[in-house]
Amino acid sequence: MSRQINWPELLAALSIGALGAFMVLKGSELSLGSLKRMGPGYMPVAIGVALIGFSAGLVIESGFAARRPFPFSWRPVLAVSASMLFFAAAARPLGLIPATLGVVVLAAIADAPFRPLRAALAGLVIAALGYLIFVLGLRISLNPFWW
Amino acid sequence: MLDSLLQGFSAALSLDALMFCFIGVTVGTFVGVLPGLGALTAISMLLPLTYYLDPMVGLIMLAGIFYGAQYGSSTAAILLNIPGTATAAITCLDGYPMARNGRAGVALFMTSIASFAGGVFAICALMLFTPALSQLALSFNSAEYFAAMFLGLIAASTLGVGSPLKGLAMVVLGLALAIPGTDINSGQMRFTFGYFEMAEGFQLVAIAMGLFGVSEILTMLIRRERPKVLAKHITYRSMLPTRDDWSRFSWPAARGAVIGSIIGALPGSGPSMATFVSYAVERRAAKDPSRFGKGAVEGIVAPESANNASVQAAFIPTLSLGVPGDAVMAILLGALMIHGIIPGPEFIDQQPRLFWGLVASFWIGNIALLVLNVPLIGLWIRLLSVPYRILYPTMLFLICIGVYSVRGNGFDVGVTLAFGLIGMVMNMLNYPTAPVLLGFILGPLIEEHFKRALLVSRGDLAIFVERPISAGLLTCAALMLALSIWQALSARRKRLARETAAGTERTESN
Repeated sequence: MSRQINWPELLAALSIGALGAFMVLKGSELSLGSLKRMGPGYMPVAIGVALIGFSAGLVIESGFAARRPFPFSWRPVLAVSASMLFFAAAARPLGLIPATLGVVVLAAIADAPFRPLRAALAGLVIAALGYLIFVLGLRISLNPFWW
Repeated sequence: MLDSLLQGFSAALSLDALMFCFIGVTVGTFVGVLPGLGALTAISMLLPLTYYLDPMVGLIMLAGIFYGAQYGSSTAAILLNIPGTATAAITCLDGYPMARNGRAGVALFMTSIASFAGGVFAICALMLFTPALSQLALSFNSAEYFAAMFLGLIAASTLGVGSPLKGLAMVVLGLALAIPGTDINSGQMRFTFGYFEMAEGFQLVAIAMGLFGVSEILTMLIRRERPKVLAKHITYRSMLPTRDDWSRFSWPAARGAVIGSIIGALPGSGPSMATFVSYAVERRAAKDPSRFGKGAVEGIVAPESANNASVQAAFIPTLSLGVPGDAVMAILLGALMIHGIIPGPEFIDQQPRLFWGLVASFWIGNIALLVLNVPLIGLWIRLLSVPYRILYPTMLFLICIGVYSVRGNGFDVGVTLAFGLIGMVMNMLNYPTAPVLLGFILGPLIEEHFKRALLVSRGDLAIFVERPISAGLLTCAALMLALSIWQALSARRKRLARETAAGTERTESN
């Protein structure tokens, strides 16, 4: 029986191992201490070793994993990422309402028929409600606009 | 106890507490009704609110979402054959056939009453056993705590569906995520990479919203799953059960409540498992098991009673030992820790108002839910027709502002996005996300108890097996581990055998 490599599963398993290796390397720069009196580096190294162990197990398991169809599209990923990054960058300098408008419109691109006008309208409604609830109601310190 | 409960009621009946209890159960019903939005997502999204609230009020609200969702989740199961949240999957089996037989109203009514019955039973159990268990836990020291938390982590990662190896690896990943920040013992910074924002480590809110909020949105958008809506008008008259329905109510509801309470109180086994077990028990107990799957009242009453009971009972270990059994409990524990309260055996004595106020709010919340789900059911059915294209940008906005508001910092929003993308990949590859959060929240506690136990024993690991309770808990964990490995291996053998058989068939037909 020939067995093909299950790339997604294998890569996931390997990246867990890479994280483990990273923790061992970085952790060993801190003082390790002893079992009796553990230093700040003890736990990171121990966890890193455990991650490497699990990674090895998962690599073996990936050879047996059921191959499933793998639906993926970049559009939602990019749109949602852009939307959240926009909020992260714009909330302080531009204010809550422009930031919210941006979040909603950029997020709306993720879903196939993109209707800019409808998205902008929804954005304005959500921004107004958000201002009422979070700034006036809960007193989060954010200006509605940049002035 | 009656005295304390009365005090609890006076705290829970304050205007603030009452209002947020109501908000909690309403949001809970809302996310329960809507397929694709679960209690865990909603609780993560409302977690930042608790920073602004009194700890008791915040906890009342978050808890309300959890049990409110159990009431709401049966609505979509009955009307659409889609579980509103995972815990109502079993309710589809007999609820949808009932709706097809024109008995949707009865089914909706019976599931609400059953949820209430299960809840009431489990709250009584909570009032009796939580103080008792805390008394017992007073003799615990760090070795026992370490063992109890260890058992909790093993249970949470191996009892889920799918590969136990993935579950365990994700718990350890959660432990790893708890490392960055300031080391409690030495005060030294570790793994902050020069970002001053990382001095306190990853924010709980950012991880929870990323893994359960953003990743769910992304997964839904990629799969383009749009639950088809079939709104129906339900009249009150059609909700009235017949005498025969009532006669099939009491025993299944009672059995469901007992099973749910026991399973809920055990670590790692949440409401979903409670519904599976209670449905299986009903089938076994029934005189005519063939009725199941065709609209048997017992088949919806028992699981709905069980899932609400298990949700209420899950508070027993969380509040008496400070050991959460699942991810939702872990978030609630995290919400308390944000306010500097760490539940443990002294919790009830030190925070009587908080504990009894919460218990009282369960009574109030369950009664409010009965009102929300019986007379107002029409409202929720109409809500099933809110389109996803409105819903997800709103959720995304709530996530952004929620995370931002915690520290007034855009950095955390970026971290949330990163965890959202990681969570999306995990969903695709069947890596469970809940154990990550459990590991993250229990990580610092487990590290502290481990260090302290070894400090006491002067570095001798034997302390964990010399103390009987600790040894017992660790044995349980080992057994659970062995069992799950054995199960996974035998499942794989079966699947391989099936695939080989299918393969030979295919070659023969060619």
